[in-house]
Amino acid sequence: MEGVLFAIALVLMLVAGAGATVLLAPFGRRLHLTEAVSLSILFGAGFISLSLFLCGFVAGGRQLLFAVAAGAIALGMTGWRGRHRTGIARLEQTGWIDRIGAVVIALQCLVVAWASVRLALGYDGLFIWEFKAQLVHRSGGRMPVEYFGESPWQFTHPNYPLFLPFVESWFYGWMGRVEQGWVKLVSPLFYFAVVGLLVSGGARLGARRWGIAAAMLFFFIPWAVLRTTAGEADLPLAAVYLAAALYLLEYAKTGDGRLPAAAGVISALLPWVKRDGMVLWACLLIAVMLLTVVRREWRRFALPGAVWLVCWGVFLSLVKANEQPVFLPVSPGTAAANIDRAPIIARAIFDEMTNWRSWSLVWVLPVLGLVQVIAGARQRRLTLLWLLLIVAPVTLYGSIYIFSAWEPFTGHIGSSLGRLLLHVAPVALLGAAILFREGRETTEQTK
Amino acid sequence: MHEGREITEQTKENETDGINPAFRIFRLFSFAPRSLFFLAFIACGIEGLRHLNLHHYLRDEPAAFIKSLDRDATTDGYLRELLYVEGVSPESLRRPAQTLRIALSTLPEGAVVVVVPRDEPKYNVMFMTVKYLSLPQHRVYYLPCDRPDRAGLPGDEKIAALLLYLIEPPPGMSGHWRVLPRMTLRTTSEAEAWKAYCSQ
Repeated sequence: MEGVLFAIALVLMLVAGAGATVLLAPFGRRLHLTEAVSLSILFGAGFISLSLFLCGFVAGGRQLLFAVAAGAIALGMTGWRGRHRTGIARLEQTGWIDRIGAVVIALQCLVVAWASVRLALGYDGLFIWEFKAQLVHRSGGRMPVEYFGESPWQFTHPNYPLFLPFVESWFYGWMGRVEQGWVKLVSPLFYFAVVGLLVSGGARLGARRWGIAAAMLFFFIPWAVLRTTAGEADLPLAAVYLAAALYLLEYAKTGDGRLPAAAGVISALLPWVKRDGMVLWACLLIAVMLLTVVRREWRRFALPGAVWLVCWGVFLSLVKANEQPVFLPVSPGTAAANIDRAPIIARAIFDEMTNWRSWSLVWVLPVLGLVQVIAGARQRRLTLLWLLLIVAPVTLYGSIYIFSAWEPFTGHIGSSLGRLLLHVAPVALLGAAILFREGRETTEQTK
Repeated sequence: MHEGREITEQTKENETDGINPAFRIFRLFSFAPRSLFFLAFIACGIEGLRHLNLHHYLRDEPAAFIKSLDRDATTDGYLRELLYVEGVSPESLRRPAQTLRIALSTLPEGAVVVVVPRDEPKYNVMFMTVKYLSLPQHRVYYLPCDRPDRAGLPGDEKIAALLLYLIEPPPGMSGHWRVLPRMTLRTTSEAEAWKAYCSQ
């Protein structure tokens, strides 16, 4: 019975996501099936979590659950009616290699789902994210305002965004109780989203087969598989970042002026998924500003994310959300005092990236990209943008440790660096489609 | 790679005519490094995946898969793992999370103090598990005997019980209830009751 209820919750989430995908996609843009499914997962989870959060101020319990379900169906139907806005096409399979690739990717997804069920949730997955989901569920589907203040649950970081807890509580709501077993299937959904985006990303960037190859290779990043099973918010964040980065890369390639706005809508989810999402959003904003400084399209990119950041910031200040003292005051004085940490941080990042057992060769790709740029490769703009979308977040993440309040601060690096790099890894993998693109492969017509 | 691609592009036109004998050789040269990278990526990945020991989980399928969907799957796993380190056989524990949850739910209103011998990460994980399972009724505090200040117990906090982990009650002392192996519960309202156990 739990399985049926879980499936109902999942279908409702995907229906909402499909509707949002159709409505938010640039008018007339053809979507690949894999891209549509991936975006449906991301937008569906975004819709459900935001609806529960916002509607939770006026309703609770079954009322809230059914209201959000009705909203999901309405959104799906609106998308269905507006399906003429966009077309959904199967990714063209031209040979047996593609078909084998599709089968292998499907098997890999099954293995990841199986491993996620078999392994227990990780420490943060259980004691931060699932714990919050349980609190939400026990409070009738909404987060009690007292939680954000001086509650006994300080260790769950009350000021963290609530994307994942609300998504998990959505499933609990339908199943009627906390189910640690079934909730382990939420995280693999975001693995599927990453894989689907890599497949369609290859086609968008003109290297269909390398897109399929990148999706296959994602399974061979052991750290990504491990973190998927841990049930943390890092993989959803990586999926959202990949989707937004993909649209920007496509913009750099095609110049389609509708894409920055679409990327802006997707990237607005970043700060709602995890606090680190603010850093990723800022990196995307820098990239858009560099790309569209003359045409000022960056404004349309910035608007949704900026609005959400302001709203969330106001909410946190209204509820007087407590913040655990993880960082020292961010000031030039602190930076100057701790600048001697920089070489240690750089070394730690290098050591982590060259840990083949965790990352395989994913971080070799940016190095190859750099070599190509120096060697004067064609599509330099695209390659440079891709490098920026990797280097900027890694640099900003690294510099955060200068302000770490941990003693010793290397403990902070050890506990979080791998997870931070995971946010960028799918974008790095997408580089295979940029670097290894053959002249013979043609760009998909995106209209 | 770039050079290879350039060559590929230059010879593309000829290829479509099907009359370029050099094309296949050039293509091989551009294709080889990429294939090598692809294979090396997979090889390194397999090496890393092997260390996750996922293949060990295949042994007891499919029964274990169904068991992993249990409502307390993760907390049961944590308790079994933590107690296994302390010499308790996992097979001897039947639904430990549910047992602990029921025990905590029967306590009177007030805080639960988890008393452990030392401040160690594994004991902290046990405390967190207890805290998780006590939801939503109780406030739970972590009190390592070597660092009692870590508990941060407010002076006015009403105590409901002590949960002794890896601490045996002194002989002759009554009112203890063994919830799980290595774990004893004692209802008390005395804020200083933990001292009797830590001073052993």
